[in-house]
Amino acid sequence: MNTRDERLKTALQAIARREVAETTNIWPQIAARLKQKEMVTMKPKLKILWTALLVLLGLALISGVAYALYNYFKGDAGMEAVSQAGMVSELNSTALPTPLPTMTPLPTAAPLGTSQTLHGVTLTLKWVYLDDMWQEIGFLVSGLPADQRLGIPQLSFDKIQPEQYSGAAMALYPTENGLEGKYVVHQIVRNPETYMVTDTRVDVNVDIPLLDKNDQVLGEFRFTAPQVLVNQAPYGSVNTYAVRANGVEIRLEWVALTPKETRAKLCHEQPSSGMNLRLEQAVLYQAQNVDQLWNVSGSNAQQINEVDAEGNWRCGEVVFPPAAQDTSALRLVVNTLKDAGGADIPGAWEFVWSTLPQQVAIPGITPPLGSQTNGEVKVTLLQAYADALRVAVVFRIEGAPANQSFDLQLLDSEGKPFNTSMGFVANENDPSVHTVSFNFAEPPSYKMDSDMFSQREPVVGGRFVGKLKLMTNPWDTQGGQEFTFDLDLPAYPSLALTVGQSQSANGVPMRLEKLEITPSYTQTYLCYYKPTAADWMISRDKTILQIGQTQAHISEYSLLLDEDYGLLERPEWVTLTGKPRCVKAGFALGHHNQPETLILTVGLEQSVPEVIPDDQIQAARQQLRQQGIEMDWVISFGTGGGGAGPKITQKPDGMTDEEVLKRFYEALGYYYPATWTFTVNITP
Amino acid sequence: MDEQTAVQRLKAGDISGLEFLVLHYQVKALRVANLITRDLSLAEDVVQDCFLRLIRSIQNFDHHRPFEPWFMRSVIHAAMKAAQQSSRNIYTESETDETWFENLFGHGQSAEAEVEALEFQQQVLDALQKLSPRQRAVLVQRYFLGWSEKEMVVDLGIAPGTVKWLLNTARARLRALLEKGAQR
Repeated sequence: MNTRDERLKTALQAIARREVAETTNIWPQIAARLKQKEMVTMKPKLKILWTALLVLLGLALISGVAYALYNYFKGDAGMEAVSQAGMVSELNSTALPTPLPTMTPLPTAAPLGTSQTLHGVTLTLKWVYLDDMWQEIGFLVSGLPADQRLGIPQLSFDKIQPEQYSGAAMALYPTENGLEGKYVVHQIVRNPETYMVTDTRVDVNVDIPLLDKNDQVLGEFRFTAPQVLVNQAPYGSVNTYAVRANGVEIRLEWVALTPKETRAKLCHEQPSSGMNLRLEQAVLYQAQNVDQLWNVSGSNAQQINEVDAEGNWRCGEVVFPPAAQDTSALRLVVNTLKDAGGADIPGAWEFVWSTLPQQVAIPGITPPLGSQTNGEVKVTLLQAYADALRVAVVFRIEGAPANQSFDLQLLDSEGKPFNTSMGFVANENDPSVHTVSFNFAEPPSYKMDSDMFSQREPVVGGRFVGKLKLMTNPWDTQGGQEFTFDLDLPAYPSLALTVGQSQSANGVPMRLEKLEITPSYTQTYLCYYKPTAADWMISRDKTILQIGQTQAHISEYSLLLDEDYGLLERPEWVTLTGKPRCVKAGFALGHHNQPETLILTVGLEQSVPEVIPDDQIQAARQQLRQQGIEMDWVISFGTGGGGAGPKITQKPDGMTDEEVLKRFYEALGYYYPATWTFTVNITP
Repeated sequence: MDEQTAVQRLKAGDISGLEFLVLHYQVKALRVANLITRDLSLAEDVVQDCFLRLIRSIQNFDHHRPFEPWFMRSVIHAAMKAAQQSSRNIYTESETDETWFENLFGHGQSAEAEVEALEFQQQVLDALQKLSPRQRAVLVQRYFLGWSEKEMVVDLGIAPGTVKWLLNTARARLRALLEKGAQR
C-alpha cells in the first residue's frame, strides 16, 4: 500500500475501534436466539455441491404412489437396484439378506446348541464366535439354584496360545427359558506361524465352572467347538484393563453381571518395598452409556474376598449390587489400598468399560435392535444397507412434534463419527419415514480432524460394524433425545478400476483416472485443465453416468487438487502434469455382477461469482428476452452467508425456473461449450 | 480449543465450537459490519445472523482454507444487503478533481498534528456515510481487512477487472466526498 492508502487504512481502523469496543460481547444474544430458534433439520457432513438429498428429493416428487409405499430408495438408482436385488437388510426381522454370489461371505458364529447337565443345572452352549481381537460365546443356563452360580468361562484353543489378555466380561439375563448368558474375552488369537488370521480355523474348548455358595467348584461344563473360523476384528476393546498409580498396578481381570450381583476380580501387585497391601475399598458406577458414568451415584463394594495370590500379585473378588438390565457401561474406582498397619495408600485406579457382552453384536446371532423409545419419541430402523462406499438406513420416527429438528451421525463401534457426507430425504407418502445415505470420505489427515473423526476403515472383513446416532433438537443447549442403534451389516465390496482414459474437447484435455464401483454407488476421479482462471467445476446438468440403461446425475463432488485454491497435495494417481484440477465425483448408481458398459459424459460449468458485472447481466438478459424470458438478477441471502439469484417475471409456458436459470448461465457463458465422454467396460 | 477444533466441533454439531468462533471473531465482524452499515444496532443484527447461519453453512466450509476470510465474506455481504435495505442511507453521485485527493493523502507522512488526524478521520467518517454500501464494502475489504486485490479476486470469486473497477469507483467517490467535506 502507498502512503495515502495507509492513511485511509489507519483512519478506518481508528473509526472502527472508536465505534465498536474491544470488549463487546454478543455471545449472550446469540445463545439466547439459539434457544428460541427452531433450527432446521440436517447438517450435511462435508462440502457437497449437489447432495444425494437433492437427487433423492427431486426424483421422489415424481415417484409413483403405490411403489413408493415400500420402496424407500425411490430416486436413488443405486439403492433401488440393491434393494430390488435383496441386498438391503430388513431390520424388523432377524434374518440377514443372502449376499450375491460374488460378495464376501458373512462371518458367522459357529452354532452349536449342545447341552450338558451337572447337579441338575443344564447349560447349553449356543454359539461360539471368534475375532482375532476378542472372542465371545453365547449360552443358556437353566435349573440354577439360588445358592449356586457360574464361574467365569475359560476359552482355550488347539495350537494357539492367546496373547495380550486384556479383560473379560460375562453377562446373565433372565429369560423365559432360563438365564441367557454371553461371555466376551479380549485377547489376541492369531496363527502363530503367520501372525495372520486369514483362513485360520481352530478348535475351541469352553470350560464353565459351576460353583456352590462357598465358591467351591461343583463341576465344570466342558464343550469343544471344532474348526471355528477366526474373523478379522472390525473393532477392539476400549476397556481399561490395567492402571498404575503411585508405583502400584491394579488390573481388572473380569466382570460378571448377573441378576443377583455384579462381581469383579481385581488384582494388585505388592510393592518391592515389602509392604503388604490389601484391597478394602472399591466403588462401581453403572450406566446406560459411557457419558453418564460420571453423573450417576456409585455403589460401594459389599464384599471383598481374597481369592488367589501368585508371585507378587494379590487378587480379590469384589461384589457389588446388581446392575440394571440396560447397563452398557461401567466405571470401577479404587481410591486407596491398605497396608498391613492399616494406613491408606492413596491412588486413583479407575477402570472404564464400555464393551460389555450385551453390546457386542454377533453376525447371524444378535438380532439388530430395531426400535428404541425415549420419552414420547420412538425410532424404528426399517432397512439398512452397507457397501464399501456408503451406508444407507431407513428409519421411522413416531411421537415427535411436527417439524422436529434432528441430526444423524454414523459412528464407529467406539462412538467416533466416520468422516462422511450425507444425503437425507423424508418419504413423500409417509413423512415419519426417512432415508439417509452416508457416503464415506477418506479419514482426515489433519490432527484436529483425526481427533474428531474415526480413523478406522468402515468396512472390514465384508462387514460394516458401527452405530447410527440420531439426536432430536441437536442445537438445543438443554439437549434433546438421543437414540443409538448398533449396526452390523454385510458390506458389499467395491470394484476399483484404473482407467487412465484421456479425452480432449474444445481444446481442453480431461482424464478419467480411476473408478470405484459398488452395487449402489460409483466414485469417479477426474483431472482436467480449467479452460480459464475461473472456478470451472464438473457440471451437474451436463454430467451423466450411465451404466446399462440407467442414468444418474452427480450426487457428490469434491475438489482434490487445485493449486489455485490451495489444494497442493498431489494424489499419487494424478498423471496430468502442470496445474490440473482433480476432482472426485460420486453418482448414486452402481453395478451388479454382470459385465456392463459404463458411459460417463462430463460437462464443465463455472461457479457463479459473487458479483456478476452489470454489463454481462444486461447482455444475458437481452439474449433471454429473445427467448421470451424476462428476469432480473438480485442479491439474495440464504444459508451459507450470501449469494444472488434470479427474479423471473416472464417465461414461456411450461418452462421451469430451473430451465430459465440454466439458460441465463448459458447466456453468461458459464457452461463450457464441450462435453467429454468416457466409455469403460466393467467386468466384475 | 483452537480455531480448527472449534470448526470441527461445530461441524459435528457441538455449539461450543460456535461460541469459540463468536468470541474470537465478533469484534472484527462487528467493526466490518458497522463500517458498511453505518448503524451499530443493524451491524449487531447482521453479525448475529451470520454466526447463527454458520451452524449450517459451516458444513460447506473447506477447512483447507482459513476461516476468517470465508466468514468475513458472509459478514460483508450480509452487511451490504442490510444497508441497501435500510432507508437511512442517502447516496449522491458526483465526481471531482483528483488533485485535491492526491494532495490530501500525499502529505500524510508529514508532521501532522493529532488534531489533523482526527479531522481526517471525521472527514472519512462523513464520506463513508454517503458512499453506497457496495462501495463501503470494497473499501473495508481493501483497507480495513487489508485484502490484496488478488485475495479479493479469489475470495469473492470475481474477475480482477471487476475488483479494480469496484475499487476505483469507491475511491473516486470517496475522493469527491472528502473534497466536499474539506470545502465546508
